[in-house]
Amino acid sequence: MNKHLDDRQLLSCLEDDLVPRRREQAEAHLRTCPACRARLDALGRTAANLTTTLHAVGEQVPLAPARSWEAVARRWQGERPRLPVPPFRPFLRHAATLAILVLIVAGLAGLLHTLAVTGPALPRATPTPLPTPTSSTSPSPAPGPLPRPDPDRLAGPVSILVLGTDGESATSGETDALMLFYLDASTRHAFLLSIPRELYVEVPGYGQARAGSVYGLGEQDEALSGLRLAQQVVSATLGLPVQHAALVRFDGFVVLVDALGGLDVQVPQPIEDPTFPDGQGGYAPLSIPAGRQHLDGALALRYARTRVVPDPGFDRAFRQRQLVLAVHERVTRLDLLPGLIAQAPALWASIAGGLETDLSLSDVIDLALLANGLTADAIATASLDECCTVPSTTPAGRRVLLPQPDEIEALIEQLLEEGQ
Amino acid sequence: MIQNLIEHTVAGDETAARQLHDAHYPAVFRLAYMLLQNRQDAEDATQDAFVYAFRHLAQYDPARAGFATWLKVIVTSRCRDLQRRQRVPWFSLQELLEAGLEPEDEAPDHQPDVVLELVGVQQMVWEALQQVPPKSRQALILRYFGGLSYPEMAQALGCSVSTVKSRVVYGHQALAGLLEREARIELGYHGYHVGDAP
Repeated sequence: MNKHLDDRQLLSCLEDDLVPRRREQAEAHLRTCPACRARLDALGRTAANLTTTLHAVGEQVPLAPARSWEAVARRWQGERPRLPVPPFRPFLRHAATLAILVLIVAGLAGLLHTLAVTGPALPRATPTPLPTPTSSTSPSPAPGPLPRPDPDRLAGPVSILVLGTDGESATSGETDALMLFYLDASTRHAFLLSIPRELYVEVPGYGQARAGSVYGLGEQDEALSGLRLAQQVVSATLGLPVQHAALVRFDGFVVLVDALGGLDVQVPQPIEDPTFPDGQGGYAPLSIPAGRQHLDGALALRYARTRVVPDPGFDRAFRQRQLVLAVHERVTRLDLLPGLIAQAPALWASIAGGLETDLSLSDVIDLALLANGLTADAIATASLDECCTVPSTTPAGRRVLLPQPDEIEALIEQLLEEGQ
Repeated sequence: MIQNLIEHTVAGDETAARQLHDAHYPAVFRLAYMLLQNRQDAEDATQDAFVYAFRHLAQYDPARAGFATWLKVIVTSRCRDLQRRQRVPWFSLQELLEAGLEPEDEAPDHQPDVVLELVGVQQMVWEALQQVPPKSRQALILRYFGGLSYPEMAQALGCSVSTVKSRVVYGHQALAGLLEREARIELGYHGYHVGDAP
């Protein structure tokens, strides 16, 4: 081996981090090449100097263990729930993360749309505007050039009711997941509260109904909208102002990924899920080999949804993060950008078809980017489960959960306090 | 011993938790300070790391890493979060467009709030290190101060082993270049020997 060693190989030599065959080759070269030997020595000296310097600096860093412990103990204790807050039920957690995923994707698609202002005008391609007096500060954007987002507008605490539906249930007016996403941008405190669809809530003008049916009731009412009614009912049930609402259809995600031409992800381990539900009570086995894979929209959704966890580090949350990053990469890659901008009207239309909200487009973009910057741990999660409800059955025989106002109030208070 | 403390902490024993904290605080805080070079931020990252560790203690697997290493990986990841949030506190669409869709990669400048007393070569190395680009600088710190392996660094920094190794290599190249220039200018090759003679 007569070629000089590059810096990476020299570092590997120094750290004795070469496979035996390579090490022999490197050693043979070093025996005959004084230049490489000198470089290796220099590298070793730098490493040694760096180590001693860094430790000398480390020794001088003033420590305050008692103060640190006080803060840690306070937060550690404070985070222990006063009420037994049951963990998110897997289905709801899954629906919630998917909804946030779709919201982020929608934000990015919206961003593209704004980049395409020179493209064809887009009549009604923006989210459906709703008659919402509370959201007068965020009028629905006009097609074409969009209002410039005001960074301060979402600066205070904001609560968004996110209704998730898989598309089929949308026609029946039933929503299969209800989540409240609370975000205080100034303190970067966020929580995600899952509301069971069986929660038996008071609906003005309709008596009592299951939370999952409220959207449908509002849609039937000409003077109202499903989102507006759901927003009012949830706000009254929780005793918390709810400023915005959004209905997200998961099939919108599929359409968007396909419009992006699919996603490339690195699958660390093969996935075999023989019992992936086909949505009709049967199975649609899922099999994805390891390595770099190109996923179309439907496969990407199944990749995100499968419950198979080949390795603790390769769980659903990991895969969903991967997909968010893959979408982000796809959307922001500069060489793809011209093509994407040309496609943006179609992209945005596909997402707008899967998203109904009173948030303005720029709100969604800001939220999506902000939510993207939050780590999963920064978002507290809770569920209005056995902790604050009592199971019951309606005269018609439907299983419902009766809300317990005092417990709900305590839970909300606790969730809000965690950000303090 | 440490496993015993961990089990007691999982069970909610505050005395055990404090012992764990106090035993590992110096290494964790020093690493955070080196990475962030700001005392307040380092304190925040350290506290975040311990709160996170205590909440996820059941997930710690002694077969995979020592407890100190596990904590270092966590605190590094907290430092990264902290920097990322400070760097991009809020995107407005306009800023994003002006920035060519890529957020700025530079961390905000911090005035060092600890006065260091270093002499000779150490002073030179430390000063040169400040001029190494942030990602490579952090990689060097994790490697030569934190003592993390490449796979551990990759986990803490959320990138591949190959990427972290490249950052260390690049860090070395940058540092050697800076020190060599320094040596030429100020010490005429006597104070610090870098690289092979031309």
